[in-house]
Amino acid sequence: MRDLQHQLRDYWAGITADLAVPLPEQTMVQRVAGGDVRPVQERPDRQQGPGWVAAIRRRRTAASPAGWRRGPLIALGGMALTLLLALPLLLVVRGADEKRDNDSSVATTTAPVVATTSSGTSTIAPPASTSLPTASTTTVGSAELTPIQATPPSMLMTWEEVSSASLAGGSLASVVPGGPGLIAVGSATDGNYADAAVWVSSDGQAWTRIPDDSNVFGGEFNLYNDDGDQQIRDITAWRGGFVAVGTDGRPWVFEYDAAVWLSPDGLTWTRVPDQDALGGPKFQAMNAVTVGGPGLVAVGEYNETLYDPQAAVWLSEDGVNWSRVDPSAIEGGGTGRPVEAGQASGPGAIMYDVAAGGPGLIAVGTVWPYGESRAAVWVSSDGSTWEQILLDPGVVGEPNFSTVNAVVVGPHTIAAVGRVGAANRSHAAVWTSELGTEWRLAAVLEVAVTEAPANCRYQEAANSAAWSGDTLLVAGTATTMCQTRDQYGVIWATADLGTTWHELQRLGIALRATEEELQAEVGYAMPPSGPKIATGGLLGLRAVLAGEGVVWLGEGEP
Amino acid sequence: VTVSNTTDRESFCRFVEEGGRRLQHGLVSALGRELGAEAASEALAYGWEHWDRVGAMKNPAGFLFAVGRNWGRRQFRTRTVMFPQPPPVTASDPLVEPALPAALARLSERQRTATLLVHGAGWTLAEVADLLALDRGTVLKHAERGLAKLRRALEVTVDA
Repeated sequence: MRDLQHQLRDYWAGITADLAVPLPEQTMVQRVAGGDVRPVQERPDRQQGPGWVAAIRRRRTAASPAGWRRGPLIALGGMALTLLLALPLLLVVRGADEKRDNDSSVATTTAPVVATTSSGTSTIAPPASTSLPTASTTTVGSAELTPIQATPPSMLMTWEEVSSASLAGGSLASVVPGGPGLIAVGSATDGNYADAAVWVSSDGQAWTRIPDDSNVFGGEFNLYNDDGDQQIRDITAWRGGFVAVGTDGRPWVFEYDAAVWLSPDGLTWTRVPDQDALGGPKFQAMNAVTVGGPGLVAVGEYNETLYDPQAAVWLSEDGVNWSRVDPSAIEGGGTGRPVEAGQASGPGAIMYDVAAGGPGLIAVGTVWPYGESRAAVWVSSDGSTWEQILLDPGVVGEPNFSTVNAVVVGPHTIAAVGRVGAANRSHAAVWTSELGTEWRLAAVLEVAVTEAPANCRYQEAANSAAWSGDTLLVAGTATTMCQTRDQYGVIWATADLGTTWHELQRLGIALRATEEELQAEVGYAMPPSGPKIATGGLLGLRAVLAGEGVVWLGEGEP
Repeated sequence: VTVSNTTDRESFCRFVEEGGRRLQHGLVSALGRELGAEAASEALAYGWEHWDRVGAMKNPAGFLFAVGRNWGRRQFRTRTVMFPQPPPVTASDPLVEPALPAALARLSERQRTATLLVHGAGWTLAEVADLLALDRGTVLKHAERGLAKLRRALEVTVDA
């Protein structure tokens, strides 16, 4: 028996092949079934519409022929009934329109107030004091929440939201200093397919997208006459230029390969030719890249089947030719075995980030023992063999869904950030290590939720981090999912290597979803997306965060 | 928006010619072959009768999909979602698993729609998202879950 997707393709082609295309003339011939044609008294100009419209009216009339002979009163009653029937439809559509409108708005209750200026930038007021968490300690499972202290004046930062036409439709995954000042990478869509995208800025305020050359940022057209989606997920400076990694393919059918782009200056880019090491049977993704090992080290996932990803490491000496590390050399990197009957997930693993530090290289991610996920670190001296360290999930005795999304190496401490908690309630988490081989859960950070209605889910996660001296900035997302979904960015900071924590700011990146959509998400872990931090010290800027079509600039003395 | 009758008619005919098949296929994926095809015709009839308003909408295809879907749901008292059996190629190696139609009918409507349009018809996530008024991520999850359910129902564990 052929695979399921081919069967679906053939089956769909079979059942739709002889369906009449609803072109007006053809349908008219097929649907004329005799009987009296209802006169369209109220809209005589519409009577000359496509013939099949009259045919449908004819069929309706034939079903209740007496109705149209009872005079104008019945006709008016019918119109009123039609209005009553149409009203829910109108409300549904209006609700959908309102939802779409809300999609582009900022969060409401606890989100910051964003004031847009004529220059297209916005200043963000701090969240209302009543919404700030109290410095009390509570527990989730056996995980102790870290008290959030009031931010001292010396750590206050001013945040500014920048949006511009060039960022519209963009999804910014990472920002680094370079080029004319800053380089942001990600993808941009025209509403249909996404291309890889690079933006540059000299000051963080005005952004310019590098022209979308389809030979560089697009993909090859396939039998469906589309070139799929291309996405850059990370960028790093290397040998005076830059290396970016990501994916290229059709994510909606889980068919894509890892992809690499190179640039000497951040302004001109080339795509590294496809090669066997970047592909595979289902989908492969490079999530992050760093300088190390033989030259460059990229990490991500390799999927032979849909549900059992293997942690993947790629090495390159020149950025052009890549090789994939033998999976057996990655401890706890997943077996790649297919799902076993009765199991929701298999023993898979994904690496989300990598950094040079500790014994040489540190990668972070998630492993999936059956029924839960565990935050994991892998360390390596040269990139060719990797040792796994499972991190303290903070919660014991219940299914846990911890993960590590990013790792950053500071002057004295290495920090890994992610999330811990259960499926319906998780918190941002920070683990720290001095040498990369022994780790401790340093903080479990909660965004204040004063009321916790039943059947709601709270997912908080740290997505990225940056060191500024001994001050650690952590950026994440806080999502409340009840009847609707409210999501916004959060920035936490510690100036004493993880002992005392402050919530610096909340950023409006509100999203809303219907309850039905939320139900569809139950059981899914939050993807490793959200604000990414890049620090530059550029023109007085201390931090730059990138998100969905927007950039935040932070100034101050973190 | 004020349009002349001629412009109105041309606009509607153009919409039908460009998007009629997509609307029909969307409704077939949601409601089954026969009911979905009828729902498409009902939706287009409604669209013509109200084209001055529907034609001015940002997403007339999405609106008419909702019209057709709601019409189809009202038929559920007497009809069910049905997909025809595929013709077997050989008894030992059928082209399509004979249990597939029944398994499709047992999916939730959104999972079925997303799974069939994405994996069967080869639509992009954005195209399905437009029709269902959902975001692409939600469509992806519906398609993924629908495929997983089919896989379990048909006891398929590995894709070739």
